[in-house]
Amino acid sequence: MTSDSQKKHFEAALALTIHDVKNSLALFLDRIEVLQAQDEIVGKKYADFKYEIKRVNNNLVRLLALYKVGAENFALQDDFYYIDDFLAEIAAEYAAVLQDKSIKLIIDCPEGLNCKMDKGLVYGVLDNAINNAARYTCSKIILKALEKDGFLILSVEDDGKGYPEHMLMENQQQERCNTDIDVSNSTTGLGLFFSRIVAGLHQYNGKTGSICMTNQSKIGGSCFSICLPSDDASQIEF
Amino acid sequence: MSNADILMGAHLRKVRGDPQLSIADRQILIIDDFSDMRIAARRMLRDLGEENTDFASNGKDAIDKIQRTSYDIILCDYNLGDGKDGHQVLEEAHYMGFIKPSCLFIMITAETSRHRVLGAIECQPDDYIAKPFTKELLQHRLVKALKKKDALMDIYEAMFAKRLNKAIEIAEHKLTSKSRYTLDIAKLLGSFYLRSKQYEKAVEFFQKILAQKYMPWAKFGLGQVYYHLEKYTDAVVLFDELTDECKYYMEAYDWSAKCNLALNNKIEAQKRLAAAARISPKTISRQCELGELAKENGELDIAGSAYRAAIQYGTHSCFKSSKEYLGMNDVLLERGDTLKVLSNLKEARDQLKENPADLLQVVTATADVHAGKDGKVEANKFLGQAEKIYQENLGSIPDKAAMKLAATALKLDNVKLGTTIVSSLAENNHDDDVLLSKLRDIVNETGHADELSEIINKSTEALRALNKEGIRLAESGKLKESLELLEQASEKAPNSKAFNLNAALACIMLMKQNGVDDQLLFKAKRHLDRVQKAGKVNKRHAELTKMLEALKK
Repeated sequence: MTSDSQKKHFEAALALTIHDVKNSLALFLDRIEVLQAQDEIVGKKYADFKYEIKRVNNNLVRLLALYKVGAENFALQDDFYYIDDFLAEIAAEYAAVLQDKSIKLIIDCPEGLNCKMDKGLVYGVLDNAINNAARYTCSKIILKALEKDGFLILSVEDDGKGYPEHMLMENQQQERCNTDIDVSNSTTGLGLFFSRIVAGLHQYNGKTGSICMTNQSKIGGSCFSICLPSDDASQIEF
Repeated sequence: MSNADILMGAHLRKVRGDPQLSIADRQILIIDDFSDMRIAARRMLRDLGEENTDFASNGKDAIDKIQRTSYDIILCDYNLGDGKDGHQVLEEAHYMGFIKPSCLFIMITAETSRHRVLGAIECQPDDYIAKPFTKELLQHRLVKALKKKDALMDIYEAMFAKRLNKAIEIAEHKLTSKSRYTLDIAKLLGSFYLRSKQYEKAVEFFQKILAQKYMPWAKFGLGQVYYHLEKYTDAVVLFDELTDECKYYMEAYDWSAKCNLALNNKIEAQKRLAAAARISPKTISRQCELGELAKENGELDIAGSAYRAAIQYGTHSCFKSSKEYLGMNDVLLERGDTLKVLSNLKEARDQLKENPADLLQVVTATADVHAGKDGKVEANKFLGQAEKIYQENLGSIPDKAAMKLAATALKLDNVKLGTTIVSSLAENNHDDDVLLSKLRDIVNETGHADELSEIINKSTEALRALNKEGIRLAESGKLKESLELLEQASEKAPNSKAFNLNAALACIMLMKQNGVDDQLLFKAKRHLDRVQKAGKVNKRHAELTKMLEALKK
């Protein structure tokens, strides 16, 4: 077998496997929702399951995305999206999971803001950030969007204890020296690795995207941001 | 903007309270090959007030149901196991006109991205949703899609009714005020300018957008205008930039190939199509075009694999045709691969048995192959089959197919059949010099060149004279007499473009003089339909159709 056909077979196997696992996850999700609808107390017990299903799925999606980025001829599938729509959709998806965990999700986004992006990949980045925030926050998460100096900034803030100091240091150092993130030691590392790749793939008008981690959230916890190159003018005049 | 924890509740209350967004009275179809998934999807819709849901477990079942019931919402899994995939269901339903403009089609996929390459851009679902999804997400997407449909409904309706000017008017008006759908409307409007051939307006429109924002579809539109203005080199530049910038803009490859062909750069055109076929292999028409070009460029391997792909992906598609099998036939013949030639044609006969025009071409090709191999008995057997198909489907056999059959019949010394077809072709195309000259070429290669040429001359001359007389009568004001004559003539040559179009014109002029008349309306429509059925639609046919529409109002 040539390596070319091997690669093709592998890709097909990967796609089929993911399709199959996703079907199973969809069934899990459905059964849990049925249980939750039947009995509130029993339902609460299964809240974690839903959260875990989301995590399995996100890992799967991320793995596939990383494989594709590494494959030859990768290209973004970007298009223009309204950001308020995009965030509302994420909120809708997380609503039940976060409600079960008594976490409040707040969206802060001006209407009409739009940006060119690969929605699937950026979704993966925010998803990862919200997942993390959900684990470390006390009571709420803010999903925020704003336009600044030709960039669209999407942030996830929480009111937890914030990132540990060593993580911020490491991140800064890696950014300064432009070294690779070590993915081998933790899943947090994997999430960051993915986020940085996705940000870097977004190039537009001579600008490149980036990520940013601080503990300067207005509500006291950590703040993760992805900055995507954007237009100066959001609207078109006809 | 909103608070997510109240979002869910408020969202649903709003949906239930708003009759336009409620799904209580809507006919829903859920297509999935797993019964558990179908039930799960319905359960999710329950919260939105779902009451009327049908299920389909495969593509064929889905098409049957879509044909019978006018659905408002269709949820379709892309992966349906063996048989048609979700896009083929959408394409077929769309192509057959089974889907009304207000219908919402949502495709469920396993992947979050790569949607662009799944199906043709002219036929895209309203939304894609990746599995697994929560009921909240499904509801959010449904409501969003319903709102968009609602906001653009009048444009879609005008489009569906083929009232392009009306659609343009509405879209231009909508663009004067800003909304969430401004970009969607602009994209539609650009395509309308193109379709109505308002090229100057289109150039101005697309350039104005591109000066403000990088919109791939605006660049694509501009390239299309350049093509129509015959500025092929400028167009190629735009399309090639576009495929560099957006690798998944599949149509840009096709149009770059089209422009390169217009510039006679066949190698370049082939490269563009090959690149597109690698990324998105399932578009049958593209694979066939690639096969055709590669064959012309002498690249038999590429041609062979393109046709093979077209055959493979066509198996469950409504777009399968004799084209890919006959292309493959040429490749195999050129390679001298006799065994495969016959098995390819056999597969084609099995696959295409429900479409007489395609089947005829394949059966004729089979007879031809046997004739070439000195297998006269076998050849005559297939020729007999071909003749039967031809006789049973007169009027819907394309001229090209009839010409091939005539050539094969003459090659096998079936002069009677050959003569019948040649004279019918000559009569029906007495006004088409290109076709007549091809017909003469065929005839000249046989042992009966003289008699057949004489037949061609006689049939065409007589009918040309009749047509002239018809026109003369009309011009001198004798519309009734003209119509009578043209009608008689068109009974002799039912596929004649000239007779049918002139007869339709006579009907229209009579109605303009004496008022609208049901019988004349019917007659005019029948003549125009015949031209359409014979695949001879031209600009004049379009003009007459428009005139007839105007009269009806």
